[in-house]
Amino acid sequence: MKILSLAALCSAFVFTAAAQENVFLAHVLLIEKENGARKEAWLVAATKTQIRYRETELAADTKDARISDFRSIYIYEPREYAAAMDLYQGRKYKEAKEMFGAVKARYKPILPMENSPAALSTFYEMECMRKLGDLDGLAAALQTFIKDPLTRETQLRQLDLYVLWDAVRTKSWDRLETLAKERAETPLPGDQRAQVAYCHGLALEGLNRPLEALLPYQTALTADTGASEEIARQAALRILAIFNADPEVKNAIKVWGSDNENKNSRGHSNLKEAAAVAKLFEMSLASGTALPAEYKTFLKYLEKTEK
Amino acid sequence: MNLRNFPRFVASLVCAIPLLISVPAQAQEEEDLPSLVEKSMKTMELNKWEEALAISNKIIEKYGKKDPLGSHGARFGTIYYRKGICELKLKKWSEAISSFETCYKDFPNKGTEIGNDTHKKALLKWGDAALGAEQWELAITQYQKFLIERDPKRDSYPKGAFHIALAVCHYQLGRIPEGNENLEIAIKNKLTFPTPDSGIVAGFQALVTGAILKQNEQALLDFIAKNRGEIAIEPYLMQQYSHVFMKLAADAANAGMERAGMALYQFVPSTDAAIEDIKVRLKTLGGTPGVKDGSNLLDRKKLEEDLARLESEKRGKKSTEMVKLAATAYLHEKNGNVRGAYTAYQQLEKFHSTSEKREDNLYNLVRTSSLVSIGSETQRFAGLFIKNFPDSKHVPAVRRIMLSMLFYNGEYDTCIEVAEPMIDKLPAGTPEHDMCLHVLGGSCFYTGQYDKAQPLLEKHVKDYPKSLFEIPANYFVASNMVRLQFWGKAATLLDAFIAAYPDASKNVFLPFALYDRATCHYAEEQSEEALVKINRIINEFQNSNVIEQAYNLKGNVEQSLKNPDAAEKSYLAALEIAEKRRNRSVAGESLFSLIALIGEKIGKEENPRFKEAVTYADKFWKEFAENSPYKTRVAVAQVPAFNAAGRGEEALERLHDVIVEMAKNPEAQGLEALINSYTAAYLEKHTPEELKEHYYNFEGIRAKDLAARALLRVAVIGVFENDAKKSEDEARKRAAAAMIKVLFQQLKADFTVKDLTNFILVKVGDFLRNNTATPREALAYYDEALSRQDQSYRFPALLGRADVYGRSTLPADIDKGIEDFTRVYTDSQEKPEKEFSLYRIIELHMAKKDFTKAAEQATIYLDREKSGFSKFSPQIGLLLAKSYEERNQLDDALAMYVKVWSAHMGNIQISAPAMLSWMKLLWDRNKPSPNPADPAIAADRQGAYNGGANFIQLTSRFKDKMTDADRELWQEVEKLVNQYEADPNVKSLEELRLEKEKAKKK
Repeated sequence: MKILSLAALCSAFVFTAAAQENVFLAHVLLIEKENGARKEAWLVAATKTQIRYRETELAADTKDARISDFRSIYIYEPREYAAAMDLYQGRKYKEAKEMFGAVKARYKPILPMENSPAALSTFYEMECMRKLGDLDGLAAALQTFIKDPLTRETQLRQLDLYVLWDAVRTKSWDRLETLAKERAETPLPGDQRAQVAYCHGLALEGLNRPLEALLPYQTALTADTGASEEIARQAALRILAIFNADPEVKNAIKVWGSDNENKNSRGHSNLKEAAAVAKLFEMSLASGTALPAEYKTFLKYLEKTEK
Repeated sequence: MNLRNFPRFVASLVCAIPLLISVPAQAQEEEDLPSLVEKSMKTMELNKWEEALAISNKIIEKYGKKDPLGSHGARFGTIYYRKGICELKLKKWSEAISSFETCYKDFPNKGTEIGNDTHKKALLKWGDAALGAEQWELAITQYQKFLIERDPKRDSYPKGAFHIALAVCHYQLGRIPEGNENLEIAIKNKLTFPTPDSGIVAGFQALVTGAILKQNEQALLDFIAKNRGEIAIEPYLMQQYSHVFMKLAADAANAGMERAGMALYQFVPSTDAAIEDIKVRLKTLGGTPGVKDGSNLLDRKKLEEDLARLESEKRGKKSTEMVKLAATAYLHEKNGNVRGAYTAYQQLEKFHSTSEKREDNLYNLVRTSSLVSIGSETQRFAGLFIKNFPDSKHVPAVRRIMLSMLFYNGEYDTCIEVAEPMIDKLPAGTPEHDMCLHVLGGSCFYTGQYDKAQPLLEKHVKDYPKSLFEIPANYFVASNMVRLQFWGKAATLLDAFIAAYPDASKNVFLPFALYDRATCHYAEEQSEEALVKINRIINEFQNSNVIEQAYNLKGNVEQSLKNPDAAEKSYLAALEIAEKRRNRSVAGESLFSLIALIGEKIGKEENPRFKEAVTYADKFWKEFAENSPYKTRVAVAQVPAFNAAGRGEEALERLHDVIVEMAKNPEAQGLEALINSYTAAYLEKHTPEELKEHYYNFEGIRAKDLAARALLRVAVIGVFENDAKKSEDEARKRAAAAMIKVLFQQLKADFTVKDLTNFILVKVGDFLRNNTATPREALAYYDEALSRQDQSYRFPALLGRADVYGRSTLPADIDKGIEDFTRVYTDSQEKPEKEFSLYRIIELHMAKKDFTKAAEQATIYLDREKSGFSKFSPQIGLLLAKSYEERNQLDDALAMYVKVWSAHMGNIQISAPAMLSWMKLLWDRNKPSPNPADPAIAADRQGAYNGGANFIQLTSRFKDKMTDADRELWQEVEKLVNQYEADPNVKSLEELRLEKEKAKKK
């Protein structure tokens, strides 16, 4: 490995005084290009192409090197990042967002490195915003987001999907419908398919075509078996809202059980579907959220259906 | 991983402890104790467990038989400990239990002296061995004992794995809370113990298994809600457990724990995410064998294997996505959300069509799409299914689904497309054939292809009397007859249908059948009976889909009974319901009926209700005109009211606009009535010649609007026909007749039959039939009209065609003529058509020399009270007389001839032939007078002469006014009279008169 002179690195790094005082260290494993030799190190800073590190955690001196001189620089997973991920997977997005924010700030000195904790935390911080429905926050975050450190295809595609979410934010329904329809034709992992379908449903509702929105909303429920619980929950609620406003469903409720009940009518079958979605909402899709009172009435029609 | 794998997994975790066993000092020689101990340790380090075990056994055999504690001290316990470790590795659980027990019980340390440094750890390992042997209680006991007795400084242990092992034991014993407590300890202290992620997932597996066994879904869901973040580990790790979770999720769902099932499916990461995560991890390993990161070990070899497996799965036929989506579909449908299931199957087909379960998935897609009424999709998927799985057991069901779904969604054209090529390929007598026939016939019925539908519907009813579709099939066949205007046959079928299926709760077609039956009654002028049926609909089926139409029909019936108030009331009721139901077509019909009812021109007096009629018309144009089939009729009906309201120009403009609009639709009906109304209005201020000019260049009508252009020309012809008929100016009459000829020739030259509407076809046909020397040319026009689905002008066309055939001398043509005339006579609603048809039927039977049938039909006609016919009584009387004559019923013939010539003497065309035949018959009979003395009772020959001579005498005064044909016939009678008078046995009228005078004088 070629050790660069400090003078050569001066132009590469712009350290602030504060950064030096904070003694930022990221534990890594340097795997040398030539022989695959492994060496523990503690990064103090990095660019896209270069690193500055200490050979021991307590070393006073730092060394600089080109990233290309290593086969790999393995960044040990920071505990706080792991904890943030646990919160994220535990669907505690507000807390996760804060923690990702903290990791992002702390690991900023090595942000440009591939899949650095800061880059991943920034990404997941935005995901938390999306899941929390903070589309304004997401739009603002995207203004400054640098995607270069990310290498996972699904994450990069998610950045593309933010265009759809921005269309939701700005209520650009025509545009959203076009974008969502295009995306829906491409292979996607379940969670992203669920997003696209949900956005598509919103677009169709925005375009005053609520009954057409039912299919994409249902796709949002099934694409990843409701694992994207914030999508599944919202999609289920939209389905219930559509049925709740449907005059044919209202009429089916009115004539339910009477001589005028028409079991072959669209209203009747939609009412049964509303009952089923309400049941699934309570069963799985809501992730603990209570079914709104206005939709609880649908469950009555489930009971009779089951009988 | 199945249930049995848990202890092994956990055992493998807890076995990974250092093999720090003290080596006795005397172990120097090859086969002495120290050498053997050293050898065993080296072998263990090399993971050669069988060999190591053999060495331990050898040591025990050699040195442990006689008081090993006394001979070697407590340290000999380590031999048993190592033996136990080997046995653990070799999954010899009971042997391991025994070894650790011996180590612990037989080789305790004395005081502070630590000879056996594995003494307490043996408890831990004893627990592990018990866990492996599935002796859960024993394992828990030994683990707890270890915690109590261990030396905190010396006896370290892997805490995360330890608590997971304890959790597993509790779960296995059904103690879910205790299991959860330990698993949560492992999770909470994940970073400090540390607890490997894979251990957490393994513990969670045990919980799921235990919860499923205990049917304790809530405990599982609560645990997931609390610890989801820790259980949902990074995709590169989680994917190792995907199959286990899929299995557990399925087990949970099958055990009725669907919420748990769905929650478990949600843990399975997407294959793409797992692949990407592994690739990133592999890249960061930089080719090194592995990296220990916190509690997790990134093992390059394992990652590479996982990557290869995942990529293979992704390309293969059974990826987790495929299984998960199918399971999701199942769970959604099971809970009643069919549309959700449909979307899952849709994704399977679209993105995972390589699935080994594609046949089932695609079948389910067809099935669910039919249930959520996505007709075009059902057809597409069904087509795809049959193409890809032609031999599948699902094929018959797919065909049935495809058809029934399309049919019940009203996609009748598509049904015909699908069913037509299918019907002949299906074996008769199968449910598939039954359905296909029903759907095909029903679809033809619903698309107005009544001629095509009839044989199919009849076949279905005949071949499948116990069909699943018995009720609709019987209704369709009857209702189709109504559409074909076979009123009598339809009435019979409908009566039978209503009687056979009287229970409305089982027969949804009952109100429709009553409506159809009322329509038949109305068509057959049985108004009272029609009202009975309609009132039944109103009283019993107020919510049926046919109620507003029933009110409109009631209005029509009341109107025909001259009950305008009742008619108006009914139309208003129909309008109110139709408006509420947004049935625009019926609302439009109601408004039209109201306008026609109250907006009629009454002589020269002002109709006081014109204003209301205008209001209705305005409402129609504002709210219901768009796409309404009643546009033309309203445009026509409103004219008098608009004229009265000073809006005549507007009415004319409206007519013009509607003509132009209707002209664009070749199928439009009522255009001729519209043009006629426009013509009448136009002619109020213009001449026929101006009309001709105006119509030949009608503004807004395009060159391609052939039907409209032809209709306009026919309207012009109509005007000239009227002129030719009514004008008193002979020159004008001739000019008009000449113009008519020219116009018809132009019409024939400029338009093919396909371009013309039924009205024009009949009009041209009639012209050719009645006004040319080549009436058979009319057949092409009538045939074209009769070949169309459009039922308008069906009877005039049939009548025209029958008449052409009837004029032929060929028996086959005459039969065709009789057939068409019979159809018109039976089912036409127009009395003149019926009357003319019956007359011609009698004539044609005569022509066929079927005198009996002719006589039968003639008797029907002449029964005026029943038939109400009289127009052709003279002709038919003459034909009846001839039929008697032909059948040698001389007395009847003579009586009938007398009846005819005496009743219609002035009608020479009738009376002269009747007289001639009568005279001849009587002459030939030649009976003498029964009383020669009574001159009033003459002999036959004298009687024949007397009758003829009197006829000539009485009618001779009209001779000058007779037509040539009449005169010719009259002269034939005169000639016969003269011939008979010349007979010496016949006295002339003069002679008879003289004799009479002579007798008087006497």
